[in-house]
Amino acid sequence: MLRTFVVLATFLVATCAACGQNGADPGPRGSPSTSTSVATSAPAELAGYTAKERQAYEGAVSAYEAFVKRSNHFYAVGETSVAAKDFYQRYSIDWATAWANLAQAANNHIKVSGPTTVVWTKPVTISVRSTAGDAITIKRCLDESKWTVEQNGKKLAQPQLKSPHVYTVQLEKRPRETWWRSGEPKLGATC
Amino acid sequence: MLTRCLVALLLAFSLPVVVAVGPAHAGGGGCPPGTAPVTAHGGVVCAVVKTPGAPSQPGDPGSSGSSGHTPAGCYKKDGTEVPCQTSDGSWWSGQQCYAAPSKAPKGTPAWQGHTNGSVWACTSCGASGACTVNVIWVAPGHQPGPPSPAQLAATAIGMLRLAKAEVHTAPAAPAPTYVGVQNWLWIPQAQWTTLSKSVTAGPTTVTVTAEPEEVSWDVGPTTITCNGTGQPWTRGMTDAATTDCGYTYTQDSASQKDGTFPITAVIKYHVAWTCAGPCSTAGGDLGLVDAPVGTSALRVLQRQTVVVR
Repeated sequence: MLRTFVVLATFLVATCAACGQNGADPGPRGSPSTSTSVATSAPAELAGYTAKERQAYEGAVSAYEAFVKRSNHFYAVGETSVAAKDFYQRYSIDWATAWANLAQAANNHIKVSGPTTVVWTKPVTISVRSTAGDAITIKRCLDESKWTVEQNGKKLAQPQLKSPHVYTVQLEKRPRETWWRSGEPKLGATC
Repeated sequence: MLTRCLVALLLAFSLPVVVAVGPAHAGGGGCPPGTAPVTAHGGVVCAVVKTPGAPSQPGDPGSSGSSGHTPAGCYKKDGTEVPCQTSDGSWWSGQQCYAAPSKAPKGTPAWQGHTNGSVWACTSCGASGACTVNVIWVAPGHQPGPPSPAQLAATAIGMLRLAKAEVHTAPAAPAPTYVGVQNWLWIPQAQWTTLSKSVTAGPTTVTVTAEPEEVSWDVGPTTITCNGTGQPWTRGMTDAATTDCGYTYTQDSASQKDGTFPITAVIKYHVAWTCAGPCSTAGGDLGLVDAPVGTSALRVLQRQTVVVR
């Protein structure tokens, strides 16, 4: 009985530790591996994942931040350049959609700039598959209130950006590719 | 502690379901009036969005291929050949760009209010490093891309050198023939050859095969069909020699223009095609296709008979 309670308590503690800041869980999470290589020093949101999964997650998030930084530059310039196309073809899961989004902004003379504050980032699922590639879904709470949106040189009010929102993003590392590709962020509720 | 964790777990599973960018704003009315949600900068902004691109013109994907002499492959309007497939997508001759399917969420401006069909990013990049990109909605049943197998087949037929019949008759013009005399009709055996041509567009290759099936002869007063080349007449043949392709005139040609009956011959080929690679159709039968017309003429005379008692 005592043993059963200890196992259950351990599971709940590990799971609850992944709930994140302010107790606001970003949503459903994948099943962490049952491997025994769970490290006790893992960040709270990564508790329950193996060292390999944590490493993949950290690499993917880091790659996504680099992706966003580069992508944001194209939106700040507001042009559909060959460099932007090449970038999305290499680093997007669905390049045509990412490219069409940029085109939509550029064709309507929209420029977006300004910093995005990442309030928190958490894993939803982490799947590390040696032959099939790696796939990670993350949720991020983003504060976009400092964005500046201009259309035809005029500033546009963005009331919907006042509150931070949760975004879900898929990231994948395809077989025979050594880099991460990013999906289009899907907008969720306010965080 | 246990209670707090259980509460946290319950909260975790009670969060709202994440929805796609477009519908979330379009339906939620998050944007000020007169603006629409645009995915940008890793998020969604509200802006005035004009029509993102004209709807496609149906039936204009890829190379036209409909003309019998249109070369295979993909071309710009100025005649420059371009690859049918690149990393930017498939060549769309109607829009003069490379088309790639976009998964823009329904309800976003790219869909132009439609709920079916598909949305494509139509890209054309210049040497300057700038690209023109139109986001185009395409009606259901239409899809930009390389020529269809049927179009490729039509193109390949135009590239086949179907034989123009080389008309032979016996008696041979300009010598006259006579009413009541059987005239032998034939074309050279060398023209009775199966022809084949393949054309490739991207990963798809279509091969058309044209097999001669019959020769249609118009001898003036009537037409006849011969199921082969016809038997050539050669000097020294006896009266016992016969042909399966001949015609006996019952009237002279004196009243005809130039005093001759015009003769034409057309080899009819049975044409079929097969497709290899990614194909919407494995093959097809195009039926009988006419080769170019071969011509000649025969002067037909009336021979007068005198009975001597």
